[in-house]
Amino acid sequence: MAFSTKALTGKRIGAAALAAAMLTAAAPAAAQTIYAGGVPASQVLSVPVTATVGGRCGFATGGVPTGNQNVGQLDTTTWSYDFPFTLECTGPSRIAVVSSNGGLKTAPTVSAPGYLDTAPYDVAVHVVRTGGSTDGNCAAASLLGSSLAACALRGTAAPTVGLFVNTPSFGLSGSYLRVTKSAYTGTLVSGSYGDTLTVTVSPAS
Amino acid sequence: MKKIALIALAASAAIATPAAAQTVTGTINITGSVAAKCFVLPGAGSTFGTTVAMGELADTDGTLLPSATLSSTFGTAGGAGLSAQVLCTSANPEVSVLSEPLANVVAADPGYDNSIDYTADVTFTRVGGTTLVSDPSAVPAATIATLASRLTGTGTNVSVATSGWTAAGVLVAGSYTGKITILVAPGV
Repeated sequence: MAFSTKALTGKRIGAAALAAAMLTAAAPAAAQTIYAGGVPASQVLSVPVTATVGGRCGFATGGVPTGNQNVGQLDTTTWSYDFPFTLECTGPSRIAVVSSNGGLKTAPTVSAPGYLDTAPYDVAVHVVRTGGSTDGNCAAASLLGSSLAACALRGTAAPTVGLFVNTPSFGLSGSYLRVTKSAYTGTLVSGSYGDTLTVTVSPAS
Repeated sequence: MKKIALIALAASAAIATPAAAQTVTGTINITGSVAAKCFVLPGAGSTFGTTVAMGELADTDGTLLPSATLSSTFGTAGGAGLSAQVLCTSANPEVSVLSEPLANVVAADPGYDNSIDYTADVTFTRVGGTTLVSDPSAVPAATIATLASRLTGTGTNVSVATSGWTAAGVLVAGSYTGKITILVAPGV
């Protein structure tokens, strides 16, 4: 894209020069042609401007991973649930998850040996993308914001944070987030348990 | 001037945001529960116990052996079966202990006895301490208690002992049987 101005004089020249100076930093090839010597002076300022369009990336309308799932009795049942989603990402993207409790947790905290106040579970993400699919899997405990465990899924998605999806995924069905009970050693104390997963997606850089 | 300003603005925007980045969010809430319950480990069973064969109960004069001797015999004969690991998912289990005398079905004439009383002493090891619940067999009702904290989560935490063995007169010959019943419930 290129813009050009016609004759500019006085303060207008100053403004144009300022704009040109601003652009110089990012557009080293900016060309400036000035015609002078005549009366009145005539100056033509050519200002090339370049731009890029960032990749669009988000969840499709109605395709956001969301829901409220009661898994029932944590200590006596085996459970697994899928939360489908649909991406609308025109380029590479990243998807990330944060667990608010690092597992299904009850209150108050119990620290006695042999007892557990948090029921562990696994979180898996399956993304259907152009040309294939991308998968990630982490324990909910490693999805705590404060966790130091290696987990590509953890965090709030950003151009360099989250599970990397290397090709576009736009309106493709079949993607899901899956939560599954995992094994544990100990006795879960009685009570109500809960956790919240926050799923984010971002264009990748 | 306005045109130049617009040009400058557009160019600045292009420089500052080479790629529009947006983050969108989905939220998933997961809930579940664990019921209040008690169980025996290993195996999450519902019962524990053993049969304690006390052997000869009477001394050479036909009266009951010394209480200390019988208490020792009870512990030795019962062995590991007198201890158990019971876990409750609840914080304050309720326990009860009911001891029944060792009785002989043969009738006892005056000066003789066909029933031996004792006290069952059950120690519950809990987080931060122990609770001893003693129930004399001479009293028909069970002794109950609410534990101040959880039963310990590792190792045995219920152990049974006896004390205060007593009988009146000479014991009639025959077999004597009694029973100690221990209940551990989740409580409120």
